[in-house]
Amino acid sequence: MGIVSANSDSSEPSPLVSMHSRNHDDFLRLFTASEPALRAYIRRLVPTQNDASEICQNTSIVLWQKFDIFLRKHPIYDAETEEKEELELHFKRWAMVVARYEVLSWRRDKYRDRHVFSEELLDKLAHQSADQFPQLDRQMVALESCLQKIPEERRKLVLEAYSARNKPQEIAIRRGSTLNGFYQWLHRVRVSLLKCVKRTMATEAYQ
Amino acid sequence: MKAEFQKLLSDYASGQISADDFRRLQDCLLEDEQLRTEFLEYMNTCVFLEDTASYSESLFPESILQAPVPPPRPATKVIPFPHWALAAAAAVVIGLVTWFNLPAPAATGVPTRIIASNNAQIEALAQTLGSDDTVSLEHIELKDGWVRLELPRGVIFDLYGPAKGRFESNTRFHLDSGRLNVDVGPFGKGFTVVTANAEIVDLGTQFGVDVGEDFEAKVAVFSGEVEVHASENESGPRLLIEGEGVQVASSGRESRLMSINLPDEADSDSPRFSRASHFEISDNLGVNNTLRYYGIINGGMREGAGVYTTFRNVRWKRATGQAFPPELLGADLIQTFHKDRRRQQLTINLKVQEASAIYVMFDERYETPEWLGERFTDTGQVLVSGPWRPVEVVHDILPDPQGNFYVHHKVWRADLRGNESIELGESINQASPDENRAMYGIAIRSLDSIGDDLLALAQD
Repeated sequence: MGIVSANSDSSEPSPLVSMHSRNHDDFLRLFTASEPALRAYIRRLVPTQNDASEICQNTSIVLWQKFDIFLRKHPIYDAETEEKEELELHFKRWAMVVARYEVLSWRRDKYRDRHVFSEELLDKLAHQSADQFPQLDRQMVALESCLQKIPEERRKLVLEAYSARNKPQEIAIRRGSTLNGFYQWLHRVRVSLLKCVKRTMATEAYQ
Repeated sequence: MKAEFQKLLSDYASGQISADDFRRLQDCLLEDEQLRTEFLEYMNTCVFLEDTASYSESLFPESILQAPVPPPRPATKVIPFPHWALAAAAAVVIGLVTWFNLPAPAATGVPTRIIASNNAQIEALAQTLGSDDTVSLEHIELKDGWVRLELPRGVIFDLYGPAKGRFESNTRFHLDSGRLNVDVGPFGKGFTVVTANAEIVDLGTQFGVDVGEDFEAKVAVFSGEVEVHASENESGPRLLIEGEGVQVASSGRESRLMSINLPDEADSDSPRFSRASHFEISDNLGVNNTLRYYGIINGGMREGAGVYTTFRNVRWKRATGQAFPPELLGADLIQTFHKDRRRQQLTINLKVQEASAIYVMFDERYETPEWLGERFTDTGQVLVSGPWRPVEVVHDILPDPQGNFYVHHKVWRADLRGNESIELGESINQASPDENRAMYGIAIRSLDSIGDDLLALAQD
């Protein structure tokens, strides 16, 4: 089997293997809980989805490599449910710090390739983004609800446009529109969603 | 939001923003905290839609499909698209003689800075122009070798001889014949390469174009996006992204570009890009299914070689405590597509010109498929691929002591005679479609070279 560990040949699991296994489960739990927010955080700083995926992958590797350090700094690691959310929050904040450095490192490699923000702006956006982070989950829930309010046919078209398999040019032709016209329509959809999210969150706050 | 800022946001999110507008957007965001907040909120909707589309796609793979496109034509030629860095080194090492026809500077010419070429060429130019001078160019004819030019807006332009072409303007180059790689940089978006049957418009990227004697144009994208306007494609331009390619025949009809030769990153002194491959690869997927090309690295199989065309972090490595299988070292590597691990009814066809060994590196965790067990023999050797991030493919694998995840692959081998072909099947197990195995890898080497290399290795 393809299990890689320090003691993969031994018949009895050693403490090291057990520890690795347990850490691995905990890491996956924390990482899985943080990944959507982490991806969103990174995606807002870089121009394309592919760039965000590459940085998110590198970030996850660094997080795992340094997970022992995170555990040593968080003695509440063994505590049960009441601290779980707090631990997840700490992990997310730590993950964002690591991601920020990964974005800056990526920028140094790619700045010539395409439109990439300056280091100064990335720094400002990263800080502001981290400040808004506690609201992110609520925004995503509101977005989900707002998307459902769009008529089904249009909703499908929006998702089609965002599918990696499809080419905007081809969708535009099928829709009888120019590429520019199609992009303008997508922009109007995003703005409508944004307004809907603000209304939804304002209503929630009022209630 | 003000209308102007909204337009900047829209253009940025759709990847259509011009260099000037990008600078304007950046200035706005640097100056105004409120605009930064609006930018982040706006990008949230993009993130959400990208994630939702991706989720829907995985749940309902057939529900999000593209518009009809013309039927494919079988594509069998393997063409080289050298990476400029390797090409630079190669040109210097092999010392090809270049003849570079520079017309007298004309008022209508394009101001061009000569960055580099091979030694002979630089010496010849230095007598009259100097190697870093700006000249005005209308036509270029390169009999052999290689030259790198910098055009207005920072566009880097690598031309490989024999090649011939002319500048129609600062942002349009007509390629009559030969190979050309273009890196448009941050401000060269819109740079267009024109061939007899197509126009290739760069949307911010690195791409290659090869026009052969039959005027067929082959286009491959290395990063970013390009739009290909084929003269006979009535459904409009085709957008290509990283890892995709098309060929436009002299009739103007498009088909998928099945494979390209890639440079060997680990061996930058090697001019391997110029060596023709001794095999052909094709599959049963047409332009309706994919536009990706197989990446071929001649002699590139070694520790650290990339496994897939677009999943670049994952590399071939030796298993812990073992050597890299000697017979695989220096074999020709075929980079497959990671996404094909779940593709059903996949058939990859390999045809060799000379007697060769075909190697398939198959994820060892799961049952051996029939097509593999029947035609191939397990060599008993193992390779690993990685590092993988903690994704589904490695859900049942523990990380190594450094925290990295690796998949073990058994190395299978089948020997073919000259002009023989073999079919490889799908990676997914139809009986257990939930198994998330890694897509297999492929390598090939001529049987003649195996004995020589192993002998040399033993003598070392």
